[in-house]
Amino acid sequence: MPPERDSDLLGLGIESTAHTFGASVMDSGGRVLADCRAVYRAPPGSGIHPREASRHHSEVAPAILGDCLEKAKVRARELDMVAYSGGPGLGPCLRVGAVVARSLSSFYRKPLVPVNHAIGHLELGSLLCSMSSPVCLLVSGGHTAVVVPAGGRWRIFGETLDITIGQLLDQFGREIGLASPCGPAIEKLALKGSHLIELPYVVKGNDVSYSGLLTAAKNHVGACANRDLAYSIQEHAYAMLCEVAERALAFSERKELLVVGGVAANKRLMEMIGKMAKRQEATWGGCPPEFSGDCGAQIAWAGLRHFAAGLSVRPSGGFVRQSWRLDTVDVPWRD
Amino acid sequence: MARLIRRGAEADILLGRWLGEAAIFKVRTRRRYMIRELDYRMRESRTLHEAELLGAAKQMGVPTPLVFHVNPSTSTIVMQYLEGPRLKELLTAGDARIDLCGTMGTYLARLHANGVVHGDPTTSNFILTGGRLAAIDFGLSHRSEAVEDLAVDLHLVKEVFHSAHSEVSGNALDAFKEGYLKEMGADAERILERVTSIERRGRYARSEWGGD
Repeated sequence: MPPERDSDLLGLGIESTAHTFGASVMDSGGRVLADCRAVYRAPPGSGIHPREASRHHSEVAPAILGDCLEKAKVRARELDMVAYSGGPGLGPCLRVGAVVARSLSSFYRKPLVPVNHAIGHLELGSLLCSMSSPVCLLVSGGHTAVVVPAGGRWRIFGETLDITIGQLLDQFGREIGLASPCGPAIEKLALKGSHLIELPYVVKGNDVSYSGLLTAAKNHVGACANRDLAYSIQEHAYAMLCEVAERALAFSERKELLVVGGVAANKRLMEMIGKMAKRQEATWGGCPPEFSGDCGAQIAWAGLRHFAAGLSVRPSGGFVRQSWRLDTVDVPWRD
Repeated sequence: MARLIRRGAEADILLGRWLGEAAIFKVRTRRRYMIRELDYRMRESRTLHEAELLGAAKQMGVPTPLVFHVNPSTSTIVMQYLEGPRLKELLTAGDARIDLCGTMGTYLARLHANGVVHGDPTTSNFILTGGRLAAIDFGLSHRSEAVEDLAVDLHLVKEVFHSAHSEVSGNALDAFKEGYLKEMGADAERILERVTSIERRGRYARSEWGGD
């Protein structure tokens, strides 16, 4: 890894929002020195139980952290700051990451930086896709939104009015006996489907709504082949996402489109996004699959940006917030 | 012939002539990211809805372009050309036309009072032409008197002010609200309350109407 670190800051990022416990060391030049993680797997047919997931995180935390520092060839005392995912997310899970971060921060006397998990996705994606001021489609279990940076905030241009795309996929998946996160299995199943079942397509202005689509799809289980349902859910839900993203591109007259969050790993979604972006003559990119889902790097990188802007807290101020909207976070580097 | 003047998210906007008059040809072209069945279903229904409600809105006192011709099989609407800046361009800081946000509120209230939801009340869908504000783009419009549907319309207005016009969003929203309340009268309270509850339902939200 780069030998000359004098001018660069080193940051540790800890992610523990939901199913993933991750740790990563990055430098302020945007290099990922290490990114390690362990993912809690829910039993088939059920979702993430916050208590079980947090237990998993506490169990794996020491090993993941040690592994991460070793791979990065960095000692804890060499770090310039420690960032953790402060929310939004599952309380018990968030608290594991916060406890680890506060402990490191107070023991090694390092500045502590709480990072909004969604801002982490947006900032890491922009870095890895080399986009300065993109329209972003954030698609995951926790978020479904089209956001645009302006005036020191990430602004929500449109979002889901009810459940997220990840929840739609997970809740349908569980109905047919899959284990969360169900996205990859549904994608596979959809490849075998070909018959389109008509489902609610709900776009309201720049917002989408998936609850009706989920109910309709669940009602078809048993009467229709699962492969056709998976196919139809994907076609409807992703077309809705493409439509609102296209509206944001047309309205904002920006020419960069970035897709981040776990669902950015879906090939059918990205294929559709590509066709749409071409029509709008926009360049487009998805966060690379290894970083599109939850990971420590998103926290490390957003943490470094906050830290460079002078935003850090004392260990006693290192809270977590289960509800924390991304458009309430000041990001002074994005004016 | 007609030339492309704007590529919207779902339609190409061409400027040409119709029976000697300048006219807009709004053509919903095939969206290749969607499978054919879905794309066709959407284009046809939106074209028909839009044509119908552009006309209906006029009866309700909301200026809209005159519809000259509709062709569902090519998903094309030919309509009067309204020349002028869009509200979006008139809200850039400095000499922002906050007063027009009040007119936007009045128009939305007129539609709502008559059971029409605009569906896409963004600032690029209001044009200042000949000194008068006009509403366009009724592609996502539908008839409904449900409080929920009307409230979503208002939520969308709030969203666009906050995201695209953050420098003036406070004043713009106040003016909009004033225009809306004045026109809507007593019914407005229930709808505004619902806006708050829609926002509370939003992801990780705790917001109130008018602030953040």
